[in-house]
Amino acid sequence: MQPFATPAEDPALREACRLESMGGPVAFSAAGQAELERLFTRYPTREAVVVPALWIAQREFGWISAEVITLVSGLCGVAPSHVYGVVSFYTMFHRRPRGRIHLQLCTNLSCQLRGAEHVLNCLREKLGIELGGTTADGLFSLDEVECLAACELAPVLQVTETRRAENDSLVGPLDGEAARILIDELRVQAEASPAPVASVGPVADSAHRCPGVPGDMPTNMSSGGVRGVTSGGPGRASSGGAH
Amino acid sequence: MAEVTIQIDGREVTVDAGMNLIEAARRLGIMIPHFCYHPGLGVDGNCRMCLVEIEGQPKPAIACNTFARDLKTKDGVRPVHTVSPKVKEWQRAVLEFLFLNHPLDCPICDQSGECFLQDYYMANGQYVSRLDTPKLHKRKVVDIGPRVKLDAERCVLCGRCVRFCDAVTGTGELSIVNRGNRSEITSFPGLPLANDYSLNTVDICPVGALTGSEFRFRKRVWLLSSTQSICTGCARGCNIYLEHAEGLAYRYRPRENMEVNTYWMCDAGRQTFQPLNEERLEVPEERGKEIPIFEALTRAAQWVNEATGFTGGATEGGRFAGGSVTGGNSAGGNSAGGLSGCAAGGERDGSRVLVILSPVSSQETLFAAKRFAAEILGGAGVAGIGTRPPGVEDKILRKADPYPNTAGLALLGLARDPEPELAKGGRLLVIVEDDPLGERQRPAWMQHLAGWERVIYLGVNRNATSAAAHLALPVTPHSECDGTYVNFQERLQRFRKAITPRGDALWAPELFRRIAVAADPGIHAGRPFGWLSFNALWKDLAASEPAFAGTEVAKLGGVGQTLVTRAAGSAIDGVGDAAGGPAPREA
Amino acid sequence: MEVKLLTRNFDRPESWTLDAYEKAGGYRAWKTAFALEPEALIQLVKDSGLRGRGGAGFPTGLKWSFVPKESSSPKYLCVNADESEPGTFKDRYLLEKDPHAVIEGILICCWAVGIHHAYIYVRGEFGLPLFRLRDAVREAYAKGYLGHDVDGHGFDLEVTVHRGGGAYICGEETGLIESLEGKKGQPRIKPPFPAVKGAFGGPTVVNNVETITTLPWIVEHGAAEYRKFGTEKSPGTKLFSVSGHVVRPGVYEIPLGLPCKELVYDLCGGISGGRTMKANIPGGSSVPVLTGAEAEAVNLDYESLAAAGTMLGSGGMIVLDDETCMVWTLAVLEKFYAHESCGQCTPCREGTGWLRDLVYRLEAGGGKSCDLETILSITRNMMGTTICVLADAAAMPAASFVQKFRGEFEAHVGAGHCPMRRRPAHFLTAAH
Repeated sequence: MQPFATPAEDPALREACRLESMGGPVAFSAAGQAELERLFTRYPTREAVVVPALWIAQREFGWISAEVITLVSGLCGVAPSHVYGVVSFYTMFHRRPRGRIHLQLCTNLSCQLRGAEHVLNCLREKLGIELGGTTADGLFSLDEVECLAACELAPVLQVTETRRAENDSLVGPLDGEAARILIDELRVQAEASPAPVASVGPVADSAHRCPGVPGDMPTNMSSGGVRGVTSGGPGRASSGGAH
Repeated sequence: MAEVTIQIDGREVTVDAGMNLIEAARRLGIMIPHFCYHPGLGVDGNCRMCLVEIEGQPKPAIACNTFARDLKTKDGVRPVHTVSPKVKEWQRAVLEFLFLNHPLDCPICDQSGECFLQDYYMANGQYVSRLDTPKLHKRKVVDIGPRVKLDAERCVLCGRCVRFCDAVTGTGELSIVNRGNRSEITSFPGLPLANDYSLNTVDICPVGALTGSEFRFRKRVWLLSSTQSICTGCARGCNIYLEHAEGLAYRYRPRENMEVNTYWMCDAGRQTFQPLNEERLEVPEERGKEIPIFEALTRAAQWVNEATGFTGGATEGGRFAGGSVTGGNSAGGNSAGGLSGCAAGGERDGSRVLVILSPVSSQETLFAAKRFAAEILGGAGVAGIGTRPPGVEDKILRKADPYPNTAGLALLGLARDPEPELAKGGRLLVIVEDDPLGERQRPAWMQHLAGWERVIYLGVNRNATSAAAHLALPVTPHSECDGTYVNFQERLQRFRKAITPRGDALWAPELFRRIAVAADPGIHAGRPFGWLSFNALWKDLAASEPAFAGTEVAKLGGVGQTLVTRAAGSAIDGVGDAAGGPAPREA
Repeated sequence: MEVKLLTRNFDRPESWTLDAYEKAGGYRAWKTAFALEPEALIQLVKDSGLRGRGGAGFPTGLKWSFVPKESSSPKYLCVNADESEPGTFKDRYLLEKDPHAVIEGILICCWAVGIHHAYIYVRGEFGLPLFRLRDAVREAYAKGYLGHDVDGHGFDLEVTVHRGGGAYICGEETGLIESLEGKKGQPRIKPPFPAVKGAFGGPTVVNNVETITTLPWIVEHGAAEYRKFGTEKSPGTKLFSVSGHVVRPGVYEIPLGLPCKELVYDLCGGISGGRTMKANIPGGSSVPVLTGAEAEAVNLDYESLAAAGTMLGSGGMIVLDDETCMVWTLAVLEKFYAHESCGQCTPCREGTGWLRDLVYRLEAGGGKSCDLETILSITRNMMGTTICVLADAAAMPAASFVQKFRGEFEAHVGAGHCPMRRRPAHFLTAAH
């Protein structure tokens, strides 16, 4: 009948679960909080806002730590373990910090058929990192991703600036040379513009806007010497049919 | 809802239309293998072990999510097969999938002997292994909570433990993270599986993924015997299996009783078996010194006689003390309540004697003590309230009242605080199973005890009170005798003798009888006192205590009955009296 | 022969804007729809013969009719924009180029079924399609096409764009619903079906983007016009996303029943590099593969493809040329399914990983001849035994690859290495 003491945290458990700490509690910015409040009005349950809240969190904090899960758990009224389950289930939530520019290369069939393996090797060589790795300067992370539904651009790479709102863009078709040039261009662009430190609000405010690669880079990579185009770049739809 | 007559393996059974096939088959004694379904947690449908064949349906169906009504078509009710060649093939396939990444560490797995994977493989598996790809390795021996260890490799990901923490305790500590074959049970860092019911996850885990830290590696389960019993941790009286070997209790496991504890019990309750094994008072002690049982009985009898001013009884010789059974022959009729001829109060004066009872005692002990006080102690005062501080109460099972038989004590009219009488002092104080001097109880009573010329303690364990008594006599705990408790619902529930009494411990009513015999040789001659069996005592109890009038204890069954409803004339809802039957591992 | 029903606006400048859509006659169809009784509208869709374009091909009108008219809990529409079947990218085009057609389709569906809240579940990886869709929804709200009292018809409709987190299984309708509710996207056991108990406990319609986008055209032109395209049993047009070894990969709208040959050789310009077609996966990576010869003989409609032993699926056609190693191809696919299995059902959770490991081993040259029988047996044990069809989706390619290209698999066993590739694929050397 004695009350039971809480045991010390098990390091083995933590290791296998790969849930990292940010070192202290976190909180959403005023803008993020406001966005969240609006989201709560769009769903009949608070739990339904877990995934949107994680998106806001990833934009604001860059990745999902144990503290972020605790935060979302409290706001959405869901046990932390379940928020953790959700985070681990979806591939787009990062459980450790990613580089400023997140490169996700599709290695599914349509891209593989058109040389994704070669592009991957070129990217690994150019960046000096393996899949899942981050460059020493913290600028690039490289991951593979399942079919991006852009097979007409195969091999296709998704480029995302992690701390900015919704700027994902597709680059393709790539070959080894184009991949190397793209990295150089992205590096030049990134060095020219300071890394975002604070979050920015939802960006999709203009119907005409064509969200590009990080910062204000031209969305049509062909101008930069890359053979491919980004999906939906100005003046040019994706290559292929349906014209 | 309407009932449907369905056919399973060629046998018909009529069940509720909303009953699933696993439960319907159970009615026929057919066990459909399953991992994820549990009657207390509902249908989840993930393990695919319960695939059955329904005539007219080309695909296998899961029995857990197929309900009797689903079998009805306009042409009749579709028959179900659970052991057809197709079903065997499906089951073999699912088992093969489960073994793909399951470690073959059965020899050192603590679940061995009560593992569903083992049982199902024995029944339906048995294939030539073609599993030659490397196994995935996951975490082993993880303290997922203070009382539970996780072996993630052995886990079949049925999710019962997760659903238990969501649906029953509402604490949600557990979750399955990652996906595909990397899926693992885990808790959130810093929030371990520490709820008050965490060990139920061990019970419902069908394999060796969750094991109890405490029980782990203490005993191979096939060496344990299982006896129907009642948890004494609080007034709920959860129905349990008391599991024991070689005279030691090893663990409590909940036993299904939908009226009391459904399928569960609390962690704190599970730990209450320790006093059955440890710090036992095995031999009588006089002021801390062990003495032979005869001597102790004689001493007690002598003190009883001196305190009540009785002179016609035992002498120093104490020759009658051990001779109980021979005396019993002539007293064959006494058990039917033939106590009217008992020693009259005029011969004994109980005014300077007090008996303190406790709701920790069984109904039999309380009744026997009441009679003993009235007849052998000359109408001595008898009362008790239980001196333990209240425990934790929750909305699931736990009651604040830390005693198993508070209602039973009250129904005998004995629930009074004895302190006013105790404080007065006197010649003889008899404390039955209460431990007022124990930790966080009534330390102040120590001073009161000093006001008594002699203190006799009857109890299971050595404790502060036994140490303070002049004479301590061992009695049997609920593991070592048959008995009953009345829980907070006024439900009379039976526990069964599991273990041979330790040392000189006697069933408390028998101990009272022996003291009585030793105190008054006339008891053999025509002033009968006592009962020679549990059933005999109950005949007397039912006849003389209005609250228990008409109770037929032999018909109590495994799940007990509510006294008040019984009084209203409802049928006895017991399910038979099979205390010795094999204990199913789960519902 | 291409036709332009769904793709009619794709070439218009800034086709994704409300302005362009209205100029092209947009938001007229729903006015017609509102003039009809809901029952009549459902009948119209039934008459058109429209079948779900997400993969299963279930008749759309029939699906709607399962939703109870009166319901104590709110009804929902979930538009499935979780396009993630490998080789499929048609919905991305619709969302990027004609998001207002999606919204108009939603209006029509919701009026027919009596729904007042629609969720558009967009896959997490989508960037531009998501932004365009959000902008379109915002425009539609501003113009009064959505919200309270839509266009003065006394009908309320809320539309919420929901971004997923990245999981293939959320394309399965009950997985999508679970995910929308904030949980892991693990499919639910059925019954109950979503039409009875779906999102947030309410009756729910789940329709693919392409299905929804077809509605305005059908309403505007009528069921009979729609049936002029396609075949008797597979009426209408279908978007095919063609990728792999063709000269012009892309999205093509064709009438159902078009010979596959015409799509591959005429519209897509044939096989790249002048090579020949070794194999064709016609309906997204999950359907059984066809040999080149089989593909050249088949017509692209539900029935013809079924007769050929495969499926129309999502219309994501992947073309493989004669230099492609089929064992390597299967390894790429099985890697995908093992990665995407949600982990609930035993046969899928374990079977996908097992298939992957066996095919990896074959491709790496360490396979045994008995592995082929083991693969076929695993696929049999996986099919039809799980909550959703991901297990089938992983099993069908494996079975068909081994059956149709057995020689190549045996050659790998015999040679002890891949006869067609010099360097092992990255996934064979990395720890997975």
